[in-house]
Amino acid sequence: MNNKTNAQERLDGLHRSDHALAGVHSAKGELTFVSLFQDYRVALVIGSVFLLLTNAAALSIPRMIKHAVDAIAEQQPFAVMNTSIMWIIGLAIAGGLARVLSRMYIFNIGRDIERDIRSVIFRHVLTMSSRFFEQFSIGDVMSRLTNDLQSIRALSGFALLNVINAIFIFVGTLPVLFQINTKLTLLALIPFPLGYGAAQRRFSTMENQKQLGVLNTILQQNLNGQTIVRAFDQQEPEIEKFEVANIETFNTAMRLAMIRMVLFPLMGLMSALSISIALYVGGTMAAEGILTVGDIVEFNTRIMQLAWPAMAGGFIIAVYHRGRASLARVNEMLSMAPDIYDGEYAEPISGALRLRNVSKSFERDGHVIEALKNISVDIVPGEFIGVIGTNASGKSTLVDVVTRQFDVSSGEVCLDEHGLAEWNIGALRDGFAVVPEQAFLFSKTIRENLKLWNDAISDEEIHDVLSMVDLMRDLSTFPDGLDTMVGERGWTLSGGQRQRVALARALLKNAPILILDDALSAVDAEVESHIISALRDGSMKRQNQTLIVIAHRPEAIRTADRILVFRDGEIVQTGTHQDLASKDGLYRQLLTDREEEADKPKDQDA
Amino acid sequence: MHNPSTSEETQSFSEWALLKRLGKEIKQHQSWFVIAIILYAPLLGLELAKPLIIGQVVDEGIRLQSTSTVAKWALVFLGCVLLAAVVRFVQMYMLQWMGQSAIRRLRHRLFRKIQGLPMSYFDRMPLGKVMTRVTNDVQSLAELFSSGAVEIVGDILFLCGTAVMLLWVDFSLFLKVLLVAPPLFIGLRYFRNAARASFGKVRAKLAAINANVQEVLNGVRIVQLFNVLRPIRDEFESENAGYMQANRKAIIVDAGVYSYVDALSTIATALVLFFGAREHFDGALELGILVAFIDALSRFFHPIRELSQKYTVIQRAFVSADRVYELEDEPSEFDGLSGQNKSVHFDKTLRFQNVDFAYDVEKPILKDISLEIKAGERIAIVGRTGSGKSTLMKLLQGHYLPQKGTIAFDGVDIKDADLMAWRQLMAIVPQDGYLFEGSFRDNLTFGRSDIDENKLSDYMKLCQSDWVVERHGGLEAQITAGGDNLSAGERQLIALTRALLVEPNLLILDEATASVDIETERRLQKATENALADRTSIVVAHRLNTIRQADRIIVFDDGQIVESGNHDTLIALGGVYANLVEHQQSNFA
Ligand SMILES: Nc1ncnc2c1ncn2[C@@H]1O[C@H](COP(=O)(O)OP(=O)(O)OP(=O)(O)O)[C@@H](O)[C@H]1O
Ligand SMILES: Nc1ncnc2c1ncn2[C@@H]1O[C@H](COP(=O)(O)OP(=O)(O)O)[C@@H](O)[C@H]1O
Ligand SMILES: [Mg+2]
Ligand SMILES: [Mg+2]
Repeated sequence: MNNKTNAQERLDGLHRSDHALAGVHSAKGELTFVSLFQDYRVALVIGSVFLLLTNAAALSIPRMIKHAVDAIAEQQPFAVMNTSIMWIIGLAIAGGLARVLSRMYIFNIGRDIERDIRSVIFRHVLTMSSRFFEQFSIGDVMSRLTNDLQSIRALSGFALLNVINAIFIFVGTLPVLFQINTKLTLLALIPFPLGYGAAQRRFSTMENQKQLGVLNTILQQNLNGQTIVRAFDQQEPEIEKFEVANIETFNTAMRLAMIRMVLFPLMGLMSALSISIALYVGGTMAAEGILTVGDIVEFNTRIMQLAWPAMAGGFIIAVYHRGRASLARVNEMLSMAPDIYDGEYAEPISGALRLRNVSKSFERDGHVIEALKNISVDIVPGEFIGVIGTNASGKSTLVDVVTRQFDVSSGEVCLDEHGLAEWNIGALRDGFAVVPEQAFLFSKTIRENLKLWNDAISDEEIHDVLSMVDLMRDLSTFPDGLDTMVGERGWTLSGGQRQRVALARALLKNAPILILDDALSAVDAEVESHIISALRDGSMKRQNQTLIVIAHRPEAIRTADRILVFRDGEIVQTGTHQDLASKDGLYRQLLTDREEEADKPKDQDA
Repeated sequence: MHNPSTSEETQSFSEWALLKRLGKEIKQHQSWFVIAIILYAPLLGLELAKPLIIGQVVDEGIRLQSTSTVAKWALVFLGCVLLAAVVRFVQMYMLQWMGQSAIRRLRHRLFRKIQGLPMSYFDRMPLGKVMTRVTNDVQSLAELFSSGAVEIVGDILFLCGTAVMLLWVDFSLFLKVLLVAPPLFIGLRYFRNAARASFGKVRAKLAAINANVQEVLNGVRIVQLFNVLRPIRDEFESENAGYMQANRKAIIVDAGVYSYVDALSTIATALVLFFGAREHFDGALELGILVAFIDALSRFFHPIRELSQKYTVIQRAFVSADRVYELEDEPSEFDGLSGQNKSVHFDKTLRFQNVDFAYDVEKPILKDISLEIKAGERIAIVGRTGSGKSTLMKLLQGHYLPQKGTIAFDGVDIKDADLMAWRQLMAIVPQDGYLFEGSFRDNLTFGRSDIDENKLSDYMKLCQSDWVVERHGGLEAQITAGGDNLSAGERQLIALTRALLVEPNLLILDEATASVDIETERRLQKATENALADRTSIVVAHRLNTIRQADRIIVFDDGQIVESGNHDTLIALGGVYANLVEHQQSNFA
């Protein structure tokens, strides 16, 4: 991994930072076989040399056998024959070794290229936002990372070897043929270009690859929604849906196989045609005395040697088409530019956020959703901002905008007086610690999830934070304590545990700006009040840390320096709890509701 | 990113067992298979005819200087080849069709299998690894068919034929050839083990890559937010490089087998020459026979070389087949049931009796839960996070079976029930319900595709999700996988509607409105109050104000039911519940 390959380097060149791609894979930037092979030219040459040696050994062996037989026939001393035999054995072993080496060198190229592309795709995909995943579902990306790479690899390893081999054989054979008779050779060779011409028509190799992606997508989503599928007793419809795609996969696989099934005999036919021509023309020539019988026999033997590489050629064409289609699918993915391009500014963050007339809208099939409408707000470092509002009023979108998951549709967001676009995206995101609505955990241990590769975090700190979020008690019930594996997405934890691990993870990140997006939705009343009091007495928020808490429970943000009340993409009210509680408006509505309930325990039926 | 405890490299089946099962896959097309094999005969005949025809050209055409004879035989040659091409095509088509059909059926079986695996399977198996088995492994079995490995049978037939010929030409020389048999077999044995080991590693690495990608892409937002692209990438790179390294080893094995067999075949020829020469000097062997023998020997080794090339394809397929069949042999969730498939109803009671449950034997989660719920009752469950509320709901849905005790609707225990019918009695809004990629309509009618339009819009109004749908452009608007283009509250409202539309006897809400805003929640409560009055419901909630009117509140603590009663009695009791209410109210202070 230290010696970067060309493809990786080119990609790095396109990265202004590790996070965003700038001017990605333009027409020039897309992966081509030529660019992919660039790093492996030496290996290709070495492999070809070994291939040549393999062929040389393979061709010498029959000659040595002939020598030996001649020696026997001529009653020469054993020693002569024994030398021949020693030669045969030596050539067999040397040829075998050369063959192993040639395959190693050439097939390894395919594997190297596969690795390069996979790594390029992975890097690319990791910088993508939701727009990308709407177009390329996870199952589809996975399919491209395996199935398509497999056919690209087949082309750059297996096919390559056979092409080189075919070239050697043709180059070795053609001069002999021409030596025998130029006209005959030219006539006999006519079918080959014809055959390749016929094979050049475009085959629909893409659809099988596409279909494998579809199948994988259905499977991936079915697995991720498995509990729902069962709860709603939808196994049979799901199987049905899978089966439709499965049958289509079968059909496309058959069509793909058809290409091979046609090409293989077709190329066989071409070489047979060539032999027939040789027989007819050569035979006629011999009958007319232009050629000797020996010439004809040799000519035929030689041209028959071309039959196998020619047939393999048919196979290679099939592999070629498939590999090209797959590379196109890879490029399709790589050609999707990221939504964000970052700048170079990377200074320590103080935590001042300024939003000016920020709007964000999402468009889908011509339908526009305005998630944020002309929002303006100034947040000074160290401020505690509470955010409350109705559903879909743009609160989480605000978080996405300030952390630059995507750019605003209009308006401006500044962090420390610098527009977000000026920031290096890594530096920017280092400034935020976010507890997202969906507490996604990695299927690692709790400790690893908390540290997230930051080895500077000590167990002591972890324990401090865990008691702050009231997770210590739970921890003692886990089989391996901090080393308990949490299962995929963290689903072997209870919802509240998962959410608190996510909260602790954010607290441990120690960033200048801490954002809690509905981070108490899954915790019980006791834990909730524990965390709320930590929020209130300031023990959760460090000195000068900007804190933004989005909540549906007004009590969580009561002590905020400022509360922003959201409705339908707009900030309809701003102020402290005292201000807002005394005014008519959405906040009062949300509040009275709760307080009423709190005060009058049993008055709901009205 | 995968669970290291789930080993992907151990093999569970012997080669013979795998072979038999693979054979079974195409049993259905036995006659086709036989025909495809029989087609080797004309192919062989046509192949043998070629040198004869060329001989004819030389003997009759050229010697007799007859161009018309030359033309005639050239045409015959062309005809033979054409015929062979057609036969070959038919044969390949049959084999392909058989192979691909087998693959299609296998894929179908696996997918069906997955739908019936116990949920505990997914606790230990990363989804990406399950996917690897259904797609990549099955695909590599497909390679077995498409790369012509079925032609092995043909190779073996050909091999036997030439062996007979060799025996016939010279018996004692053939015995000399057998000298290379021991190294051949020892070598093949070595290569077999090496191949299985290295292919095992290759596919385990691939499974790990898939597991990693599946997971990381699911959490790509977190990866970006926490700025951990670099370590994630490094982890991936090392897996990717490991996969490449494993493949490089496999390449050596692959190239090694072929070269080894090829070298041995040449050495066998050398042996024949060596011994043949001596016999010739002794006058025991004619030179012509020796030459003929050597010629036949090269033909004898041809199928062996072919076989050795397919050898690795087969080993690779075996490794995949092993994983595929292991998945297929996993116990299904029905295996824990008695198989009586009793029909179930919920007219009277749902009863949990002395239920014990643990995901992990060492760590009991539910301890001796007994609870009786009457039809029509509205039950609320509260308790600390992690106390086992969702777990109880999972047991109720039959995702896991209790280690001890019974769960019964109207006296029918879940173990005796038809699990499908059992699940049809209830609908759930889980803590984080997955929404599928598709339209709003698809998602809303997920459990009930036959619902009529009026009812659909009634329920949407009832669950306050009508505005969500409208906001997104109507029922045909698309939801992306996981519901990523919806806000958290919107997702919950859609999930709620989805469950209510099923009109279940029992409705389970597991913290179903935790992210719904207070205004909406209030409207929701008003709206659903009447609609749900006659329906049994179990509501797990942390917002205690939402469950106040429940007929009965069950209080969970540490896997046990510690209190039960309505709001007033529990407040009066002054126990855990009262304490929780206290806590929540204190926040308003
Ligand atoms: N990636 C997206 N594509 C399309 N629409 C989106 C996307 N993300 C959010 N939206 C829409 O933008 C609007 C605001 O969503 P947002 O998640 O910000 O709401 P919210 O205030 O956080 O709501 P909640 O309280 O339910 O969490 C919603 O209508 C939502 O469906
Ligand atoms: N699939 C699982 N495997 C192992 N442990 C689990 C699994 N699901 C939940 N748990 C554990 O069981 C306990 C109870 O979880 P749960 O029933 O989800 O709690 P809650 O009462 O918050 O709904 C928790 O400690 C959790 O970590
Ligand atoms: Mg939100
Ligand atoms: Mg729960």
